[in-house]
Amino acid sequence: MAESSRRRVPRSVRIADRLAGLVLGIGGSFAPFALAAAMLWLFWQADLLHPLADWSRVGGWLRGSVSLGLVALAGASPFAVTGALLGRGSDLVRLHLRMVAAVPLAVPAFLLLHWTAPWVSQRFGLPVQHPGWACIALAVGMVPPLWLILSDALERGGGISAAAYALGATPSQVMRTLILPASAPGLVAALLRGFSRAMGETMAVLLVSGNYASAWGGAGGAATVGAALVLDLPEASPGGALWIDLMRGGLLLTVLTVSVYAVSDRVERRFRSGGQP
Amino acid sequence: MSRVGRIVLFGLLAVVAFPAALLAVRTVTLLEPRTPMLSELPGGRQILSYPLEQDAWESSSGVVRHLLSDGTVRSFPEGSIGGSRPCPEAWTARSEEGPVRIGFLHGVVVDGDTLRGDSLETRLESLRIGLREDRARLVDEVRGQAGAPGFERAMQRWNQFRRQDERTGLLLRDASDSVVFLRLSSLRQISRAPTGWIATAETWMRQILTVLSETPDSWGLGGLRQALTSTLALILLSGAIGGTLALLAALLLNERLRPGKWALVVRRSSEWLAAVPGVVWGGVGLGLLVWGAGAQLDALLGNGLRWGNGGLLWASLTLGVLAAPISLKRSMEALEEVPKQWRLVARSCGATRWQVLRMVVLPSAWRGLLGAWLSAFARAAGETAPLMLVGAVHSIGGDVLETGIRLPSLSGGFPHLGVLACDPPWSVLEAELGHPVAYLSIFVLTLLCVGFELTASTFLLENRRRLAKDVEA
Repeated sequence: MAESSRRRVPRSVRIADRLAGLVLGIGGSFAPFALAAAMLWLFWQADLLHPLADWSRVGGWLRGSVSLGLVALAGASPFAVTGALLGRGSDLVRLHLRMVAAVPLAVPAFLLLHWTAPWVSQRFGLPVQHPGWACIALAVGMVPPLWLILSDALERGGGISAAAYALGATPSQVMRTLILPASAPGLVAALLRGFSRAMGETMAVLLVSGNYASAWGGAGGAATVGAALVLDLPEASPGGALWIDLMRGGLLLTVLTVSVYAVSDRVERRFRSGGQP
Repeated sequence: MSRVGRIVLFGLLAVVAFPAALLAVRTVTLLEPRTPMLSELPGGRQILSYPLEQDAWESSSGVVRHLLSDGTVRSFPEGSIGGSRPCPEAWTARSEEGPVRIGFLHGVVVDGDTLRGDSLETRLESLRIGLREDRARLVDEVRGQAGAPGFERAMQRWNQFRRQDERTGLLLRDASDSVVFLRLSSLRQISRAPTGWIATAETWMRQILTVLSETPDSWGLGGLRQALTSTLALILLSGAIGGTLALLAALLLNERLRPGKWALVVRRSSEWLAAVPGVVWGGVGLGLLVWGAGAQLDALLGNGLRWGNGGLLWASLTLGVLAAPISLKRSMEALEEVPKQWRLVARSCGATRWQVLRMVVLPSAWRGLLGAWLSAFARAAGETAPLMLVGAVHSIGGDVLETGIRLPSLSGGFPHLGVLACDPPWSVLEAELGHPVAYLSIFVLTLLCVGFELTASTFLLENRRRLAKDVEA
């Protein structure tokens, strides 16, 4: 029976199937190649054994990226966690969030730079360009994406809380005894993911630190890896000391963000497979 | 959800939407036509001026800066100006050369003859637009005839136009009764502060349209037309590249690959792609595409430096790879909403995997896949940092008089709305002259992002709703 049905599949159908497989296989497996090409190129350019380079400069950029990421996470997570825990599963909230999360992170930075900072500096005499503004801009800007990531992580498993409500639990009881413990790993994973994203954010930092010599130290002294890459890469000559430093910064930042992301991925998979029935 | 919870939730949502709302408000207030003020100086002299916003960069308090009727900016100690009153009958003229002039309409000079009278105001605008159109047409003609036999004739017509143009202008009289002549064809805009909200709204709309549709001069001042067209081209190209790659990857992973080593590699690396920061993609694009592929292509074609510079094509490839992960994630979610049993049933009836895809999966999940495809556009619209490395430029100099919408070339540099907005000293200068290009460009960019995302999310949610209903039934 199986033999005869196989023979009845027309030749054209089989060829179409093969062709579709070929197209999907070639176009669809771009990701490993893109990732490998990017990492290999960065690694090659970073020339880790080159004596010219200045590791302390690279270290400074990385420290800037990591600390800005941490501050942004610390500022944004209370709001994002509260929002994600309260508004679980509502399509309206989700639609609204997706829209707001699509707003470029440069928008809050832009408003801070052009509106709030001048006003505050006139009233209280603070400088317009200050690392603190970048922290605030990133913290404000990270709330919607972080909230979205969190609500994606908490999306599944509405069944238990429905059961708890049916048994007469109050909302706060459900939150305290069910949702929080059950979703803690998911929260951690999502926060890590947000941290990975905040570390790589460039435009907000760049805007507030200015395109020019600034409070951060000017050319070659930008605050974060991202800002350094954008400001100095066009001027750096390939193979020179600054170039190698920038490439090392880029490579290390990428390794850092990807590994944080991978850890969060692992935590989340555990949580999905273990935590849910 | 409890009532307190609901209040807290909606409060938070409002806070989250706050920056976008603030941006909208700020853009609108900056675009609002400002009324010139007629003020008394201590010496008894009168001046016509706009009070400018305080210079944010110097935070000099106690001083009010005014844009005077002769286009210069002067600072006055606070309180030194007595008796200011709004002067709605004064006109404002913005010329191409930069300074904004304020004054009373004294007359119009047409080819040397001075006109005065009642119907001047309506004639003025049509005269100005006609002159500018003539000039653009003649410049195009001269350019087109370069080297051809008709060149002499075209140059003659151009010189004739120039002579007439030099003697056609606007006479503005300022508060101290000195009259200035402004060449009419060089004026971007002449307007009077409107009275009444209908006229205000009309002027406001006209100003938005002017800023959006004007071609900037070689300094990049004056208009967003080039930036708008090239940003749109970039979003469409990179979204299509990224979305299509992601769609193929999702179909490959979900419908085609059997679980195994390669499937795991593709899946993990697709997820990790999302974690690589945008600016790093910018650097990689610069190294691999611009200096690598571009230089190779130039060497192959042998026509000088063309593809070896940052340009639209390389930028959209870079942005495409950057935009793919989010689209991939959403495509996978959309595909997973199609029940596994449907595929099993189709396969057991003897359908090939392509037939299952074409006859079962695509008809039931096309909304979700379309939404996921569109998400790549939204993501591509929201990213600016890598563009500063792979070819964004401040303006395409030289074609000030270009008419008609022309798409930017694939190999050339392109102005981008996000990059324009991120140049603080320039944007502050523009905003003070009532020309909030930076605000408007980032606002338009935000609208584009939100628009694409809203469309994408609507499709995705609709897909989920319909599939859930189908599965129930």
